[in-house]
Amino acid sequence: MIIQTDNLQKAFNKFEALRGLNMSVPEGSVFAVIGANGAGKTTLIKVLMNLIRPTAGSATVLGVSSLALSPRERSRIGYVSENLEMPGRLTVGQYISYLRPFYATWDRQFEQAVLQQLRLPMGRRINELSHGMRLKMALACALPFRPDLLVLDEPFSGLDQLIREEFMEQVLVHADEMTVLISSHELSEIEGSVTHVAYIEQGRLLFQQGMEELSARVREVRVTLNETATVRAGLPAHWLRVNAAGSVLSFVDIRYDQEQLAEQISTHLRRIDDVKVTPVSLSAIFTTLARAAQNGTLPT
Amino acid sequence: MWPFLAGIALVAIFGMTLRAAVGTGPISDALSIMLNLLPVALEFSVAFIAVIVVQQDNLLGDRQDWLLRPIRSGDVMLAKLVFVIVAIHGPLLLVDILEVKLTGISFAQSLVPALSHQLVLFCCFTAPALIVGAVTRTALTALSFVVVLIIAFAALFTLGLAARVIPNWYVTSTSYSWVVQSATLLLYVIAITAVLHFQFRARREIAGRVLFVAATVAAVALLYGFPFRVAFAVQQRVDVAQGSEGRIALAPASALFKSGISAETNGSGRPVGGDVVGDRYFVSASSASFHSDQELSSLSDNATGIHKATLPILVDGLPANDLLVTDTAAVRIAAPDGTTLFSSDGPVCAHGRSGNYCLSPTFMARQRPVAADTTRTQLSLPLPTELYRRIENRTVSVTIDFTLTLLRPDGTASLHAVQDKKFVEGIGSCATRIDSEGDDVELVCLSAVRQPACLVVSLQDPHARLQNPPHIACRRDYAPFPLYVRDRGAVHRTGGELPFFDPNGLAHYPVGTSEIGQAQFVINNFVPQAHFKRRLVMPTMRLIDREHSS
Repeated sequence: MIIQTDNLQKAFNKFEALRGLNMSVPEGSVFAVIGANGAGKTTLIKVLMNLIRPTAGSATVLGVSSLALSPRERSRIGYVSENLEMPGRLTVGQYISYLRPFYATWDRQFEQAVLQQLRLPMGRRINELSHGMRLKMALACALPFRPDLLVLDEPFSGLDQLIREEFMEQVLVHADEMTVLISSHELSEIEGSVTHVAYIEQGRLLFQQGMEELSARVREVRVTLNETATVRAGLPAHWLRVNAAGSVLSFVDIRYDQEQLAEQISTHLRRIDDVKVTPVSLSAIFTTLARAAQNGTLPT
Repeated sequence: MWPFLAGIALVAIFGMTLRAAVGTGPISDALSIMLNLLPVALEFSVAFIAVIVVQQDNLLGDRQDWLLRPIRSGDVMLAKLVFVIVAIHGPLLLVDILEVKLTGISFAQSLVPALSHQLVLFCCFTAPALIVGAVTRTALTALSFVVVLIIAFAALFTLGLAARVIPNWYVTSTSYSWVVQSATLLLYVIAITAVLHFQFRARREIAGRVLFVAATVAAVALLYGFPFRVAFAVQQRVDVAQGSEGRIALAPASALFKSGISAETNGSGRPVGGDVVGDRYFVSASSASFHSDQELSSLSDNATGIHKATLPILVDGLPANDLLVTDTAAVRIAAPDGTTLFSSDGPVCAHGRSGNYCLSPTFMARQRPVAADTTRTQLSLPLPTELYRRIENRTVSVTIDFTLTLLRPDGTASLHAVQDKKFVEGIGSCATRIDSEGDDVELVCLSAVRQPACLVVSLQDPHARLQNPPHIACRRDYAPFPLYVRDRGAVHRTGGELPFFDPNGLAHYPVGTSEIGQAQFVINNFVPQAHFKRRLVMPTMRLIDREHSS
């Protein structure tokens, strides 16, 4: 595992931002950390990057404790964040020139290719760049040294569609060469490339799973009845977003199993006419889980 | 940042040029103010730039890009340290060396005062500013932090004085102050290193601030609470006595003494007896009638609060040509039954129109044989007016425990009294002239070296073998090495006046107006050779026996 946390906790005064997080990021994965605002995603990333210290527990990054990240490990980590403060008085070109000597693996040809594709104005000061340009700038400073680990903390925040696509293009082109850890709300942008997902809610890791397994176990189910559909009590707890519209009862089954579903439908519903099961997008999975968590109906 | 750095260098060059242009010539009040303000402006500019340098790669917070780069925080700290030393202090050092060189001393010798000035500037301004920059985010926050610190310190100090937790005199007001200053600087350097290391490595914001404040409080506590006995012991180790002080003893002279009603100060609260008076420090304890114009005007300002009794005393065993001066004195006045009527470990203080002023018992003695091996001199004993009035009719015993320093001659130099300019070894580039009133000879020196602890100066006519009464002046500094903490620069201007004419016609000088043309301004240097303690006991005396003079 390229990243591993063990009972990771972080409290800000009395507010517990992380509560005993146990997470593992496989090497070579594109690992998405998803969760609502204030769930603890950014706090988790900052702890991993040793920007803030955990209150308890531990984390290892690239085989080293996060508290002991040395220049050797940092030369293998690229970091992009919407809140990153770069020296505004320097131009794009000056800052890249400044960074180059710190990385033994800096590839100047690669740097040129990235800069060209991102179309960054080399002579403009960093504090004169737009928000989107700054993020592209951060990415341009995070890729040329071919990091083993690329950390993206809310990289799409405030970006228009075009820049998002440009951004992800650059990431995905080189994703097979590194491990990518990304936290984002913009799940549609990453859905096609994510290999693993971790869902954090109020500082706790509710689940961590490979995308294939996740997709396999979450399904949207539409049951057409020969009567008016109603939402009854006693339905299985893992049926979320249960909705009745006319004769159709729809829900999201977060523990989908074909045989078990058939059995549960026949147990809890009558006069079944048709059952349709469809895969759920990552966005829909997140939305379903988030709402259930908010309503307190998310099964443990 | 380069424009700021260039600006600092330009200010330093401007100051140097101005001082060099003025040289030993007269200075107007306006020019004097500017010359005093320039070093202050320089110091605060240096501190400001140091804060900016640190905050370029801000330590505080978790959003800085550099925190995620393969950059060692220790390297960042060292880089900033090297930058301020090279880019700020480097040019200032060159300016200092040049300015010192212009006083006439060699290049090798000019390195010492120049380096010393930069070291003090670094310790007192740059290094603290580096820390303040490391524990704050912006220049404005840094300024606010410092202002709050100063206000808090001032408030605590005032409360401490009022509660008598802080004494009214400190080792830093004595000639042993270099011990305290050195210890404080050392403490501060250690603390600064610790805070910088702590802040850069551990990045613990609150702890860094707390440590910095604690170090500042500790440094101030050290400055004002350093035990005198420790400083005295250190000084004795530095100036190892050769034994010549062993025979020295103090005794009261049998003659009646005089006391004056007025409190004689120089306006800044320093005793008249042989102390530094700003730039002009030729004041005699042996001839109390000679005062500068400033002192004469201050007499009327400070009319109440302290009575100064002048008692003749005898000093036995004083080696020939050596000078004996008081450093500290502890006084006890007791009634015949032993009841303590007054005691003081330090100076007697009072409030006057010019502000607070403090006087200590003091005398100076240089061998003038009355009887063989015995020197007569006058002890100035300040007493609170209220006490004096209460006990003036009573028989009392006075016991004074002195800390004394024996100084030996260390060279003589002379200049023509009128319009001479010369490099005086051990002092600097000096010039003489008649003052604007035409009654004093002014000596002005540009000094970059450690000045002698004491000077005995006089006007002499070698042809006619005449001499005016000598004046003794001592710096409050026995430091064995150049630690220019008080001096604002590598070169400072010093000097004094010797009278040769009394326009009122009351005083007549052997070397007067007729002789001044061929007279010499003679300077005798004295360096400390022994520090020791002696007790003076006056078993029975009545204050009413004194003669009052208004």
